[in-house]
Amino acid sequence: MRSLSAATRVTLLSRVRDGSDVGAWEQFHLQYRDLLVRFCRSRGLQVADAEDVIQLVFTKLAVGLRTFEYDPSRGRFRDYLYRCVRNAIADHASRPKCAQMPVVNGDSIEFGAGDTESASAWEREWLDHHFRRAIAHVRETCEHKSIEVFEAALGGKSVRETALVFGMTEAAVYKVLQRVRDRLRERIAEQVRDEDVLEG
Amino acid sequence: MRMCWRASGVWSEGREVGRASRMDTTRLSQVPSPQSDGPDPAFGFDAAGDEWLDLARRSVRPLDPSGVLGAYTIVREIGRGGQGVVYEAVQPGTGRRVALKRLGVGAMFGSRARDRFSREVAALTRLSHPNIIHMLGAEIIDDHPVLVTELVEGEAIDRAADKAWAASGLAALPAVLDLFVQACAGVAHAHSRAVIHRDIKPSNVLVDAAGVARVLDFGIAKLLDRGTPAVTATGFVGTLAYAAPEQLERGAVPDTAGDIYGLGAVLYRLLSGRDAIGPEVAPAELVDRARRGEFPPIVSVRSGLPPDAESIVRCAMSPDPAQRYPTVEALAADVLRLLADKPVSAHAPSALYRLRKFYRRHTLGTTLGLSLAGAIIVLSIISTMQAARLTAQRDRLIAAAETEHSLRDAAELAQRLIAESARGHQDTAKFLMEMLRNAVRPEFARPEDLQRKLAVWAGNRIDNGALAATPEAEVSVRVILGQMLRNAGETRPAHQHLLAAIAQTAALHGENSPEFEYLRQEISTIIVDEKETAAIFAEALARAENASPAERAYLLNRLSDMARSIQGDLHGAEVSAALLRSLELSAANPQGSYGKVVQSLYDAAWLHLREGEYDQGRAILARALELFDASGGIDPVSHADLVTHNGFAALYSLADEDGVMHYRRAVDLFTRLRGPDDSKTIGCQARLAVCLQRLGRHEEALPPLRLRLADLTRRHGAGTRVIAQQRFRIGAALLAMGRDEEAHRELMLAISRGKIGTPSESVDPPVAEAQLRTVREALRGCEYRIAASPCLMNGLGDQGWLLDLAPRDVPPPNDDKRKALTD
Repeated sequence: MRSLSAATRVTLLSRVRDGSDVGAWEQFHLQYRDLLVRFCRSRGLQVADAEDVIQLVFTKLAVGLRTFEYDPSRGRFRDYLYRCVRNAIADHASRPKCAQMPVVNGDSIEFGAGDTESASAWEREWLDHHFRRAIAHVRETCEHKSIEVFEAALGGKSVRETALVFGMTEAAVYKVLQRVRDRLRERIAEQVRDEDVLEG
Repeated sequence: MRMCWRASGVWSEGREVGRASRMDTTRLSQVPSPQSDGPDPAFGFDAAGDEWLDLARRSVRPLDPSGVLGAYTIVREIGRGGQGVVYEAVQPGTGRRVALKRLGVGAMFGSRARDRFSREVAALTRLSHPNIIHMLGAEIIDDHPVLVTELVEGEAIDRAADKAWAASGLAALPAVLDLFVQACAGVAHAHSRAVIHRDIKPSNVLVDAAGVARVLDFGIAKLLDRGTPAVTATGFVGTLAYAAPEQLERGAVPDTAGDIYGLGAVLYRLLSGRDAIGPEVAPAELVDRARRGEFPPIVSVRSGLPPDAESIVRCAMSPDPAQRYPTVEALAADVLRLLADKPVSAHAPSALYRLRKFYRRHTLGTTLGLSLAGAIIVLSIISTMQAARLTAQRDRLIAAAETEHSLRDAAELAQRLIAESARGHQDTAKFLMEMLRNAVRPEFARPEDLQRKLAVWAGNRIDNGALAATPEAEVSVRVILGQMLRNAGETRPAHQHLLAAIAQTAALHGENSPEFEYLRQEISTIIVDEKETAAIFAEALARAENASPAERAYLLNRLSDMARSIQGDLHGAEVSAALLRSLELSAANPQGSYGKVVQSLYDAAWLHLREGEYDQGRAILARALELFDASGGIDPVSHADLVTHNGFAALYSLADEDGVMHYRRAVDLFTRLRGPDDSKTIGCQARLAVCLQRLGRHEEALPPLRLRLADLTRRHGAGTRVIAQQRFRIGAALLAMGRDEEAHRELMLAISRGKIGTPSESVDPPVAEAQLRTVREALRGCEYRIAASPCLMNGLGDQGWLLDLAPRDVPPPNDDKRKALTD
């Protein structure tokens, strides 16, 4: 059996696995829904179909996480999640529809020999997901001015324009962006690490 | 490198790689999709420039909320509730803005269900009242009911009330009560049209911009034909806080009294500012409190309110439906009287009611006394006819019960019995009655064992066919037994019963029925111990062997799911054997989809492959392919996937000859299924080329290599690494065939990443020439076979990045670590 380290840090995944922690599930939903929606839409799924697929994914996860189907020593969570999503999309595409033969949606992903395009789309969305989370964290924890400068850069303003708008030197703007960049990098590394950790 | 590599087909030393890879669990022990690429992305932070910022910008790009749903154009999502998602949309034809509620539970399947649905919708569209949001119609889009209603911008009535209190203090009372009365008017109108809401709660009453209260979502619960609001697989609980306690029993028939309770609870919320039975209460406790009518007096939450308000709420929220207001009009009338400062009519709790409460609250010190009270409580909620039948039982219960605990169990059984009886399920009821009679036998004397023993005894009887003639009854009883055993902590037998029940339900009603859905959720609440999963799996397989075809189809799918959850176990061999057996059984039931089983088999085979047990791994997939080939023409998609898996297993086992054979076949199949340019087809071509090149069959490898290059170019653009690597392969093949000039061109393009010819970015010619020479020598030195051989890798030196290595060509990531292990 897995041994617990002396200081066990409770991660979201471990709380979710607990099964009785409703708050954990809600948080889990919030955290991963966006990723799933965007990925499904990127695969050409319509709004309603994406909705159904995500339902399926969370249902699979609910059972899978509790029955220890996901095991961090056997692989990364994001790969496991990707498999769940792929399966859900395939299940959804091949569900029997009224008065129709089971149809394989040409746009949907199928498992099997694999589809590098879909895998790279997933990597992209997963990356974006971590950025979004890290950015949200940064927004809450960084000081006000830095956030404003960062938002300006996010919005597409050049360093020069930003400097003008905020009455700073360009060098100062660069410095702020450097700091934010470092924060993001740190935070993302932490997030990625935590994603695969169930205990401590 | 320490190992001695041979550039030939099977590399026995290569198995050391496999073993070493087991140690590096994070990287190589994942189940790969056969074409998984890429190490961890660096998130753009490694690059010197602003790549990270570009990525950050990309990540916060807003998602287009619009889309299409049937003929409607979705503008945006308005909100989401327990039942489904609500969108703002544009109606085709009229261009009018409407609200679409897409109900989450799909499966409007059979014509009966659809007819029932249409009739319900017709009844709802006839509701026309200023305090009701008009339903314009409903459609079934992709098997999901989609309800079309007026689009009303507004806020929930509880928020409106809270704002009023915050703004004006106690002076807001008349306004708040007025809103409530409006809501009552809407509900009363519906009742007069024989429509029951079934789900009254604050979020279902909107107050629009003009300050008019409008009730929405009438009768949706009936449309869904839902039973009790259940705890779903994900653990979310629907709003129990506003549901009348008697409505939470299984088999409850919704009626106007339930709606009146809901209105009462809403009134409580509006007046006090909080739910009567708050969100901090756990679901099971919540139901109990509702049954006992336990919630804090309003005045304790908000002082200054007239005491009659309390009476009105208590009357409307009485646990006993018969004690509530008889009609919504009566409730509204009392509220109006309150507004007008006139005396209200809400009656004081009756003597019997008070007596009951007394027994509930005060133990008489003897368990017998409590037993008596318990029995009275049980009896008090059933009709007199049934009471007569149970009177005789009651005495026995009291005599036999030693603790409150066992009496509660027996009483619960009695309640279920009553419920089943009320639904007309006489066979079920009869069986339960028998169980109850047995509850007083001496061998069940130890009360804590009561549920479990009863369940085991009953289970034996059923397994021996006691209810074989009445499958519906058998299903019902199995479900009850399963739940009892689950509550008693006996997960395996619980699972067994529920599995049998769900399989039978799948056969009787289909997997899209509400009955099936209910059971699916029930079975998923059983948290199974890892150790037991394998045993459950074996039991499921045994059941599948003996089941009817319809049940079997369901069970075999379930087996695949279970297989995934017990992989990595010692029982790997059993799993794969069982899956193969299930595939054999499936062959007799051709109209299935085998995607899941195929995937599970792949996963099972992979477990062997990654441990270096290549023969076992390949055997599993080979046997599966035999079965597919033998059954002729079932599920061509899964068939093609299976061929691909066999190819990949061969490739991974370095059995390249077989790899070629399988991948050729796969290319054929996919070309027929999906066309020659499809990504799957090309993927197989790529793998085919890898095998061929490893075997030194360069001429044959060239066409698939070129196809892959064309595909990559389409998708990635010329300057990328993957393209360069592919050109490298092509160059190698051409060199081997003696076509030097073409080869040089390809290799140059590879080395310079496609930059040759662009003046501003041309590579320094002498450097490029030198690199080309290096590459050529390296290739010649190892007979043009593209593989992770020392001679090739050492020979390439800095140009080593040109190698895209197939799985198991990848050398161990950390040479020092491996050295330490093998020392």
